[in-house]
Amino acid sequence: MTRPKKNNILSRRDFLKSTTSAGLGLALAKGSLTKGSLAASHQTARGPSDDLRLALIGSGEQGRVLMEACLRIPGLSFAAVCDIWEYSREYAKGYLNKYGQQPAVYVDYRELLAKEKDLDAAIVATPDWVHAEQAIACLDAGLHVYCEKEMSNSLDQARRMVLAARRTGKLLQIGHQRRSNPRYVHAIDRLIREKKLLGRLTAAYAQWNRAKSDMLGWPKKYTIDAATLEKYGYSSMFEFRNWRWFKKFGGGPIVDLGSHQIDLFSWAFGTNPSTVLASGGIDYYKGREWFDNVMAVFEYETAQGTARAFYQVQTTTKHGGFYETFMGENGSLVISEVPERGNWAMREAHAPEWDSLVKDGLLLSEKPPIQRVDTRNIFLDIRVTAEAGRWPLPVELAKPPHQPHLENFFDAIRHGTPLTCPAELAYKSAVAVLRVNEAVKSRQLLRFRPEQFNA
Amino acid sequence: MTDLKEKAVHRFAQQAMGTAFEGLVAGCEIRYARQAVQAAFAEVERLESLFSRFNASSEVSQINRLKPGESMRIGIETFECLTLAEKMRQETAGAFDINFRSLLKSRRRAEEKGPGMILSPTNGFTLALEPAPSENGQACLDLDLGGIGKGYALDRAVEILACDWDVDRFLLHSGTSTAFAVGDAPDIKPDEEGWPVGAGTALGFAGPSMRLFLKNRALSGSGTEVKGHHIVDPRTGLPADRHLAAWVSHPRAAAADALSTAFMVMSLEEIERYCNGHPEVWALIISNTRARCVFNKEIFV
Repeated sequence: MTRPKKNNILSRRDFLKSTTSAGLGLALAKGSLTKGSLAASHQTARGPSDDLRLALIGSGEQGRVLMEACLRIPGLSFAAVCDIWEYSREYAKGYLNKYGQQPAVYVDYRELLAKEKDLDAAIVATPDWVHAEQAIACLDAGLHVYCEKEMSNSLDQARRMVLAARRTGKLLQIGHQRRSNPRYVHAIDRLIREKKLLGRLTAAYAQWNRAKSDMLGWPKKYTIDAATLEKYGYSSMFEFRNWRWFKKFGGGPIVDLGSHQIDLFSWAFGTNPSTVLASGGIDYYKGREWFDNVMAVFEYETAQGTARAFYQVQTTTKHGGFYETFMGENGSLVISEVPERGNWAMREAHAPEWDSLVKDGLLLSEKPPIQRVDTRNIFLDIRVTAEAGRWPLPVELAKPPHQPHLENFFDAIRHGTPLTCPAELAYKSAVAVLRVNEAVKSRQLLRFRPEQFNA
Repeated sequence: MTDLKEKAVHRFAQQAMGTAFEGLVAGCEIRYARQAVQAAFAEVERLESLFSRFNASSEVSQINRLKPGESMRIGIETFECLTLAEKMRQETAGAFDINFRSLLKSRRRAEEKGPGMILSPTNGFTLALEPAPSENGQACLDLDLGGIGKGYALDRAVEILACDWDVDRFLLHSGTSTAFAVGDAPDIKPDEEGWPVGAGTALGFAGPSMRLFLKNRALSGSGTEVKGHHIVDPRTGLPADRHLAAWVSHPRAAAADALSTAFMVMSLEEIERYCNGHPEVWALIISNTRARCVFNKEIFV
């Protein structure tokens, strides 16, 4: 047999050579597009002096999302990037280089803080269990901090973060990004709370269902050595990659996913929950420490009376995906971070008219369920059953999910705009969410005392 | 003797970009193969969130909502994809145009309301949006990255598998319309290289000659068989019925996809001129008279 068993591996260099030979380089891109109105956000290595200088601590999956969103916001430059994993460091550095930014690269955030003396803010997107340590160190170093949710997998650590922000007087924004999403602000603040679109809000439902999936792997050549893993608290590469499933590092799916949505319940009801009841378990997967499915019921004592919210997270079916529904006597509102999964209200037949909201541009009207006939000298056209009308939210409000929350953070730094999710507020959400795991374990109705929500 | 592990081909599929992406991996342990393909598909999903016309939050949807005179920042991926699309538009003299929806709309409007409303075909996304072409201040962009976006995503997925995960024998495709192969499939003859791929079996002109070994290149097919005459000539607004099918092979999936679409609406003379200037493009066109027209290099051997 003459054919070698293995072909020459397509090396990165060869691959890139083959792509550039196709003539698709950025040099060409610059030439043909810079005159256009859609200029890409290319910046010089060192931005203008009024640029905010950022450090990205944790450039894994979520760090990349935040980095990409920042690159679409004017006046920012990444001075430093930090991650204990070479793969993530290289990715972030290479990606920023494409935008003409040359960040310094660090393995240890402590070294970053010791060396970088000209920073304005840090973005922390590491596993939950190190959020507190890193965010507090950044605040103490005089930086404003945008920290991913969940604040921490320990309530005590989350409280320390609130206190550190207070002590240093620096901003600490937590990444519950729906709090800044123009569609959510419109739906909850404007329509539900201010305009009372749904009348008395009596119930809410939210879910985040994901298809079954393997634990995450990693490219072999990017395996972190055992000594480094141990230094940063991980017993194996497997544990490092799949930290979300282990109690030491995170709070499991209910915390990863539920915290975004359970936070909305309090926002819409205007109060924190009074009780929680939950059921869940590790029923499908082996070798995971956190519950792979949870169903939880919260009670809220609102100004109008008791209301309830049901939340479920599934990791073995993606049925329905992720969305939130708010239900009231006069209608319901379905919303999702991905607008095609939810971006509309539905009106109960007895509800007061919504047409004036449409006139004011607060709501669109898609298919009114009952068509009036004004021209043919009849009261009603009898035909097939009228479809229930959906009243979409204005589409102009649709923005990439993380960008408005980061914009709020940078506006707060620059102009003193109030944060939409300061640590105090996120702490209340952490109290409600972390308690679900306790409720699952105890199989009992757990009560909250109002003062528990204050750090 | 080839052992079983060497012979096995692991297949993984995922819904994305309105179709099913699939990865076939050989010479690699199944768990590693699955994780690698998962990582590649995660990149496809990320790009979908930027390119999708059906997601109102996507970058393309945001561009399409721009009003005359407005501008926005875009990311490197959309930038690269638009740049390639614009290059293709220029090189094919408008036969490929991701702004075809807007062109068709303004043409329809012109038919209803008389001349003077047609957007110049050069007034694509590279120019500032001008208030003139549309009354009532509506935006005149309606970009559809369709096939070129899928091709771009495929190229990125290939890079992740080959460069990051060091998988060196695989075939990736986006809903069978475009495929990219790296290395060799298992169980091929000693004198063969690459992954055997067939083409156009449903049209009746397929035979043993419609098979090829794809290696380190992309192959994209366009035709009238799957969705009927679904390709519209952006230059005329009419459905493309010049040819029955077109296949293009190119070192990049994005370019292969764009060109196979463009060639469906270009005349054989136009295609020949294009291919003369681009030796890296291999093309096969099945004309309406079922003639087989080969450009630069016979793809199917």
